[in-house]
Amino acid sequence: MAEVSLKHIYKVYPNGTKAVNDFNMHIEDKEFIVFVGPSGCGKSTTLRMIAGLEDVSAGELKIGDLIVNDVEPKDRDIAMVFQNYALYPHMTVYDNIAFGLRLKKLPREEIHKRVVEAADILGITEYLNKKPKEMSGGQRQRVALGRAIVREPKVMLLDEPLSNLDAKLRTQMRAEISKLHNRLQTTFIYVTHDQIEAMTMGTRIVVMKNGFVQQIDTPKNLYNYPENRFVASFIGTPQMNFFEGTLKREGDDVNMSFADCGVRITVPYSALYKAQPKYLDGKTPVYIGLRAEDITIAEADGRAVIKVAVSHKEELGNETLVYGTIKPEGGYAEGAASIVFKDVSGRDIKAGDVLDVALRLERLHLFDKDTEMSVLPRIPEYNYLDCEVKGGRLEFAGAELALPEACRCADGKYQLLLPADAITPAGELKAKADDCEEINGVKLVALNIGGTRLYAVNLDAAAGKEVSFGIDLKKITLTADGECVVAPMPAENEIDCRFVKRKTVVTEEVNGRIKRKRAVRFGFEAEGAFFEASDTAVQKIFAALGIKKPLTAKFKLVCGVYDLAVAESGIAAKVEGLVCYGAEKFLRCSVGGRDIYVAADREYCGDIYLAPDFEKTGVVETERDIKII
Amino acid sequence: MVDLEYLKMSPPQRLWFNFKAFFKRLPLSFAAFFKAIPKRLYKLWLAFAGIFLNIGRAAKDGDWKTRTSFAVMGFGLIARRQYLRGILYLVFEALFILYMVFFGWKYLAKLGSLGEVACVEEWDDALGAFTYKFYDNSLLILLYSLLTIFIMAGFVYMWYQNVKANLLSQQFTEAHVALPTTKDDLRSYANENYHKSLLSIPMLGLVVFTILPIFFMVFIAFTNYDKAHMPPQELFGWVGVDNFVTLLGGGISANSKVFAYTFGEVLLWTIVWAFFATFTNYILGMIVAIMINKKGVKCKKLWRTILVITIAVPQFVSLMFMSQLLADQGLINNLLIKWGVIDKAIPFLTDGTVARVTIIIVNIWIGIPYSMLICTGILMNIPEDLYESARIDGAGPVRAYMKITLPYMLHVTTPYLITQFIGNLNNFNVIFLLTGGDPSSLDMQYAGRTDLLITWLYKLTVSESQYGIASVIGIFTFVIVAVLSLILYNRSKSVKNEEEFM
Amino acid sequence: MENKRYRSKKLWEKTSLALIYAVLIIISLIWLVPFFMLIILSFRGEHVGMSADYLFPKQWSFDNYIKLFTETKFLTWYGNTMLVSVVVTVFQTVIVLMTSYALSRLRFKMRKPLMNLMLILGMFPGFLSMTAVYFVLKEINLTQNLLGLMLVYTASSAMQYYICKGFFDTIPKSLDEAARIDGASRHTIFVKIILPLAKPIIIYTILTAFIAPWGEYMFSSFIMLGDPDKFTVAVGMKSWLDNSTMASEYFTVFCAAAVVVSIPITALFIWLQRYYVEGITGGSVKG
Repeated sequence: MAEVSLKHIYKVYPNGTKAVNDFNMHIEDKEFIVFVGPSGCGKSTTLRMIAGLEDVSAGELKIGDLIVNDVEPKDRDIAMVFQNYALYPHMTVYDNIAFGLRLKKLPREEIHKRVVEAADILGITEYLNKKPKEMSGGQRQRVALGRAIVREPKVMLLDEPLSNLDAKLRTQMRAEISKLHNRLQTTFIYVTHDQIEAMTMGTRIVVMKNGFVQQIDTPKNLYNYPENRFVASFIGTPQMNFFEGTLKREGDDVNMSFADCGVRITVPYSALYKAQPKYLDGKTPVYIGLRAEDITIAEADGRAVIKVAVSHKEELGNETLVYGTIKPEGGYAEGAASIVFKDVSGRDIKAGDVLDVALRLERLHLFDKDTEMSVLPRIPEYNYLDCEVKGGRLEFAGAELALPEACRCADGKYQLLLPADAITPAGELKAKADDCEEINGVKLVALNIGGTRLYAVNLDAAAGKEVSFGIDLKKITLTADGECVVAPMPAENEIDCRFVKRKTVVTEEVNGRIKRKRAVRFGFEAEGAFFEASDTAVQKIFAALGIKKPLTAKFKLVCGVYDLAVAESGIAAKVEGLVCYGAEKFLRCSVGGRDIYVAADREYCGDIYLAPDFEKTGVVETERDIKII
Repeated sequence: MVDLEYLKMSPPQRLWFNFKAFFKRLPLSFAAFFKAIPKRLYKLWLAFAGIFLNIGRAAKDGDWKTRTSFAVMGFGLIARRQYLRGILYLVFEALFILYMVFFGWKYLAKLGSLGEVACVEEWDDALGAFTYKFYDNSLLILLYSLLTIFIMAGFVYMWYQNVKANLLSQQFTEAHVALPTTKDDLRSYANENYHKSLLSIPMLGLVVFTILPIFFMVFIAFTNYDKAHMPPQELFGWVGVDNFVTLLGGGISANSKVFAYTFGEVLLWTIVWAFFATFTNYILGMIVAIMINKKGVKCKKLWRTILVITIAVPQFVSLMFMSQLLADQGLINNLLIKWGVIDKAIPFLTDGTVARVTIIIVNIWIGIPYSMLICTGILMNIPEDLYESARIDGAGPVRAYMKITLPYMLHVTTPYLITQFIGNLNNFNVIFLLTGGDPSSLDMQYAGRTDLLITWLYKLTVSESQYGIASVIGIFTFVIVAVLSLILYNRSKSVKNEEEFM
Repeated sequence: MENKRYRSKKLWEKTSLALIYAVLIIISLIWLVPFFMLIILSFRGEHVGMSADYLFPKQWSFDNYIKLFTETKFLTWYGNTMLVSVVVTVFQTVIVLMTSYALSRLRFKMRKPLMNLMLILGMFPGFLSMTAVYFVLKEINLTQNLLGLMLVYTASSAMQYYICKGFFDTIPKSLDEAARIDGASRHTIFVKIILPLAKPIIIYTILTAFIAPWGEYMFSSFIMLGDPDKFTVAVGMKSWLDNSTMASEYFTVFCAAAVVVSIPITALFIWLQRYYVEGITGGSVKG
């Protein structure tokens, strides 16, 4: 019942800083969601927007079935627990808990019943007559929780509720909040900067940084499959080790060399199937990430062994954290060369020792040095292949297919960039499915075609079985020496437009007589064409930009190639060319200086008119770059 | 690198460096100030243009309801069922028109001349005596004209708000957004518009009893309103900047030179007084506070209460009593003579220089309890570990005071010091009740040796009726106070960090 | 060696403490003696005017007090001042609280400009506006009238928001937010949450508002000019000392009046000292 849905949520402050950028998430009923990130990452702002304490700059916020962008906090059916408890100091605990209920004008008996019940759940019955001042931090936090649960909210919002408590109490309250969640069976949204809290409590975790969502996933997946270096470093203690290095593929092996110490390690290529080839050229720098528990003292000589000069250690009783550097001649300065690992062997390690340590390469993480994105995404977006074009036919990995007119190019050798979603179920190509994985509801199939591995997301196949598939050639890219020869069809077109008001006359029949009535209609105006906007669209625009701004702001219509149609009237466009993919034809036209692709059933030339399908068209406010619809 | 070099310097070198840097920066900051002017003007222009843009948009996009409300305020709102607000606008307009027709216009029309006929003597046969008929009263003309201008400005503002509100309500209707009902409007005055409910009465008081009078006095500064031109018997008129010229010594009258001299003297003494009054109180108060708070001193509360009692006794009582005690024939002089300490009465309040010193000392007596209280509060907030670490570093009590207490206190209490300084510039009570500005001096115009600008102003108005000149002095006082406090405010960083929202 | 240093430190501490006590005693004497003198003089029975060269009366008596209440208008003045004080206290406290709350807790476009405006207005010598206020009051027949004085005192109370706002600023914002989620309107928050928490500052405001009219001379003397029946104590008592002939006759009566005026205020002050100190220290620190 109490699902929370955030669509394209933005928070922009008057001075232009974006505290939250395009936050998209659907929170299921009864979930325990944790927003985690360093301070200033926008997690609290997001929570406060859900609570209604901050305005939503743009986007759609739904609690249950209700859009609550402009709903007062008290009417959102939420309750919130604050970091500093925010108990009313002059009221007793009883009055604190009852305050909201009294404002709701509930009958006295009902209030009493609810307060006592909540106090009972939280074990604060004996303090009901005390003032918050007389209580300890943990007890105050219970009262704050009590005040929240008597509201019987659909969604509980907790803003760093434990950070004012000491470590021991925090662990205890952590468990209690989890228990409370089990007991109340409502949706919890919990904000913390403490990754341990996040990992232990959340069913799903949202990692944020600088206003951007980094990754939304279960604790386990976050730990095992961080999507970027930030998530990798933020989750887990001690922090993941990062080394700079390069990868070079040599047949079935990949040579991984560490920039700091010159050590080379061989990694089987099978572990790096999902990596783009450009990372395996021996030149592109990457971050090599390994968690402390994935590094052990080497018992015997192995393949993945490097030397570590120990600088100091932390004895934790059951295990020892050993700090050191992999740069033999370097000092102990913090830097890319420092390393930390867990040792459970109980060995006597002293500062200055040089140890051989083995790396568990199956737990290897790799990140791009510039973008910091994972080099080994769980679902690879593209397949990278060598191919050859010969007489209008594309040959790759032993397979062969005809190229349509749009993809014609000179004969020669090319690089093929084949998106995973360009592999379609039906087709003349055949391959063996090596492996199938289910990742967050997406089925990833690894195909083996002539010894080359391809990843596909749209296929329904079982591991070890033969499958047939086709390729959507609209999505492929061919490059030669880094230059793009065949570009894919852009997925989305952008058309500049404005939001305008039109005065029209509507006729309506009242009691058998036809009445003409003046009315005002809103719509989008692009290149002289006017499209009436639906009521919901109008509402969304007014909700996002206020009542005055929409008519002066600039917008972009964003629509796919199939969502535009050639029509009798509409946006004036000039046809510049025809792009044919076999039976499918697309018009390349120019609208207001922008290139637009439109699916068409036949060839047109000269000036035509286009009509977008507003069911599927997005609207973006240009100035702040905020998606409104 | 530069920072390191700076850190290497000894304190005098640093001082010299900062001194040089200040003057080096001066032209730059001036340049920056002037550079910012076009930008500010542009912003102002944008805001200004925005107003006309809005009006223009209302005229262009507005439907007939909106357009009608250009003339009949609130019409569009009433037509769209926002009755309460619409009717309020309408009532406001009606009241304004009534006011203008029956009252405001009469006065405003005469603002240029400030009246033509003040008073006519007529022979009344029935009485057998001359009677006086009063016509124009310059003072009232000026006052009511000003009031009318204020009201007109208010009306223009309300009219603009009315146009905006009507346009907005039209836009709401068009966008199919539910219009706030009267009930919503009323409720909003306890919520998002709560500041309007809270501030309207305080602001009304402020406008009528502070802002309007200030404008009035600024206008008076350009008139010849004085003893010879007292309404209702006489008119006064505009004289331009004559009063300013007189006060600055450029006037033709013989008074002018004396006025200029008096002004200079009084101003100088005002600033000297404010400086000493502020800092003696502050430093001594701090020392007393430190003594009381020193570890090992017992009965802290008793000492503090003794001083607090003296705050409780109304200031005018202690001041007037002091003025009696310290008079030439006062108890103190009499006692001292009797005991043979002195032969002749000490002119505590009758000799210019001695009186000034006396005033400052009496002010210390009056003021120390306050500053002691404030310093006590802050002293207790200084973290103890600062002192402990200073002790470990080998600092004695004097060093600790110079390096920890004083900088900390100065940092924290700058706003207080500034307000105190400003308060002392305008400190009427101490001077007026103690000496009344005396001893008077022949060189000075209506002012004594201990007069501050504010007491001089009081004398000029209350006893001399020199309103024109008094207003000019008032304006100068304001300018001086404003300039001084702006400089001080800008120098202190702690003022700037008002808590902020985001 | 160690021992000697230790002892010398102790000795030093002792002497410094003794010194401090000495200074404190002297200071207390300086501060209290004039008030004792005031009290003693008020009991002087003989009329020797100002030129007496002794302090302790030759003849202790209540004559001055009797004269004060029977022959002078002191009682009227006292009543006037009390009335003005009470009314001003009520309105000023309300206005200051409203202004401070609005400026501290609510966010609106004119907030900063308003605060700057009040800062600038505070720099105008208050007396400058007095003449105009006087004529405004005269027009509505409120000169020589207590109501006029009350109006003048209350009208610009908004400008005293500073200390109170500083106090409100220290109340955590999250209390407001919690209350909003609980369903409270801004008004409810003000009345039910903020005001109960602002007790110290309310008392401080009341105290300062109540005391001010007792010591204020400038405005009251101007407005009440020439009507002794409407004087406040400050104006009235000053009128006794305006010239030396009057002064010599009324000096001891003045002392008696001063005692009568001071006693209730002092009592009030000592009773509420804590809040006064809290307010004055809090307000001077906040930026």
